[in-house]
Amino acid sequence: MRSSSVSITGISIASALGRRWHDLGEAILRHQSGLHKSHRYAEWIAAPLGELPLDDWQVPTADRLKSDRVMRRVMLGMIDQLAADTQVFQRYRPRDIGLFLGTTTCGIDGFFAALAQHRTTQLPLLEFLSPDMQQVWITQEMRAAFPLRGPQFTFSSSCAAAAQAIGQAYDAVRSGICPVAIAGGIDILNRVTLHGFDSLQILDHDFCQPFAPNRKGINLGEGGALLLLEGQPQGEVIASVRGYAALSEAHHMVQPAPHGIWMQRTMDMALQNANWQPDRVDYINAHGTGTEGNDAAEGEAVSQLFGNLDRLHATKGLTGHYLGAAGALEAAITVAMLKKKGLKKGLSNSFGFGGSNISLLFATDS
Amino acid sequence: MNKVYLAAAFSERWTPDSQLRLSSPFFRRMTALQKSVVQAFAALDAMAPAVMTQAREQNAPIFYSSGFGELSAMLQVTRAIMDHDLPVSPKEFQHSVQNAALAYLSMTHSIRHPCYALSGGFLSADNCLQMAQQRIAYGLDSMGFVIHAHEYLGQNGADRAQAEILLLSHHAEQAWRVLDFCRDGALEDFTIHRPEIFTEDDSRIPPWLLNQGIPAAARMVRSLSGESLVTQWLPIP
Repeated sequence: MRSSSVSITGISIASALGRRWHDLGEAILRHQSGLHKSHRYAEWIAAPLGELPLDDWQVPTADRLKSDRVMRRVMLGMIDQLAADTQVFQRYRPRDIGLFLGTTTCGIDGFFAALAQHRTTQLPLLEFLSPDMQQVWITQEMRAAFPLRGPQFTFSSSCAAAAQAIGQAYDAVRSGICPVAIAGGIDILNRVTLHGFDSLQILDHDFCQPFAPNRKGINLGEGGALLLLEGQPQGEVIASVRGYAALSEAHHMVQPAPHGIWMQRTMDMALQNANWQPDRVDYINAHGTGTEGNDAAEGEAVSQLFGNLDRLHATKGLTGHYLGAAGALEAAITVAMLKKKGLKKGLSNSFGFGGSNISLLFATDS
Repeated sequence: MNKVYLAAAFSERWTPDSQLRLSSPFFRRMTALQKSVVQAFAALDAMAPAVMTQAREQNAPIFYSSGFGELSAMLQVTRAIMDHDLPVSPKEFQHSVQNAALAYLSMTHSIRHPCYALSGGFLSADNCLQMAQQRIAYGLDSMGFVIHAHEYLGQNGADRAQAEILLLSHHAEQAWRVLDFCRDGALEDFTIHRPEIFTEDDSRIPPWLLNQGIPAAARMVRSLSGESLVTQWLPIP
């Protein structure tokens, strides 16, 4: 019979709150903020950002506004860390290791380069479309750098991308498609993201306050997280993935359905898939962007399903919104909170543009 | 291992002159890419209503890929930033996300199935096919949609688009072909069936659909990092 539990045996992160998963958990417990008003994009955007400390990631000064180069450097560092912690490349054959990544911002630099070349040469734009303009570029770069020859998929479903990657990796490992998978995501700040969210008028130009009555919007952040998922773990098990559910709201491009009905349905389906009752969930990590509509809908959905908001926690006020990578970072935060608070069961929500909903379930008990 | 079958397929083109088949308040604001996807899905609904009903009842997941994403919208946003024509258009920014066509598909057809936007470069279409095929073969799903769409770039941005949709199933009834798949494989694995071979050079042609008239077909694509995927369609035995 197929297992409904897949072990998490390693976690690596890239965050303004630290490079180590344990440090991230401690910072969240202390309510330490990684958001700053002074950052490398201050010339364009005055709002606070959750910017990575790029000195720590050895990103050359000349590359710091080139988001794809930053992404490559940071992702190499995260996989190096995961490999050092778990010896995954010594324990498994390359063809057995799956790679499931979520990202939305990879490839953006290529669009600027293509447009600049088109204007300089007057040749058709088509001439300058290149593979590094696609999200899969980061996955292919990691394949070239590490012994990764198993199934590889790159998800780009807006803010649900990394959570979808983790959900699909969970399915791949538990069904036997691959015995082990690296799953998570990364997104890096860039001008398209900053100006795009600014145009939607949902950036909080002060420090954002998810679920607060006077909330004004989001702060953006950058970084990501990776989980190592194993079907038959050979070392320390940190926690396990117990299930997930995903659906499309079919309602609006950027607004959730009234009363969060499809958010509630997503969480309910995840609990049913894992055979969990709502009262068994100890910790709920909200998508909690800080926008009026999302937080109102999510709050209503959680109240309806869980009876109250007592177990609901929102961390984007400390980290910023990592967009396509948010689901991975918040999976790492959920597991950290379960471990540090001695809790057993957690749920993490990701609700993306276009009504792309997913809820992931994690547990520390057997 | 369970076999995976092609249950239904459809290809749809959209140009500014094409007849609009879908009456939806959203249609006016969609990009060419988005229109081609929602029209192809409507056409599939009309062509194979029974199997589509089955897919809806089973909440079949949708795996979607596109050539360079929402190329037209993304270029509009990039141009505005380069020219300091700010703020960028909020509509173009919303349309620039990779899963925008999926969002409109779900809204226009009231589809609440899980929808996944995947990026695979030269392997995009086959990457989606591989995911859907594996999930069915390993018993995770009984049916699944694979959608690949691409915009054609003209002098003034994307002026036409094309979408292909396949519905895969583990049921043999109504199926046309058997799908087999190999990652990092060699075409020699399949030579016993004498497949027609499509290579990367032909990847602009929707090969899964053009293959219908021949007994067996295979397509190999290789990424710049050396990864290769082989897709093979066989006749129903």
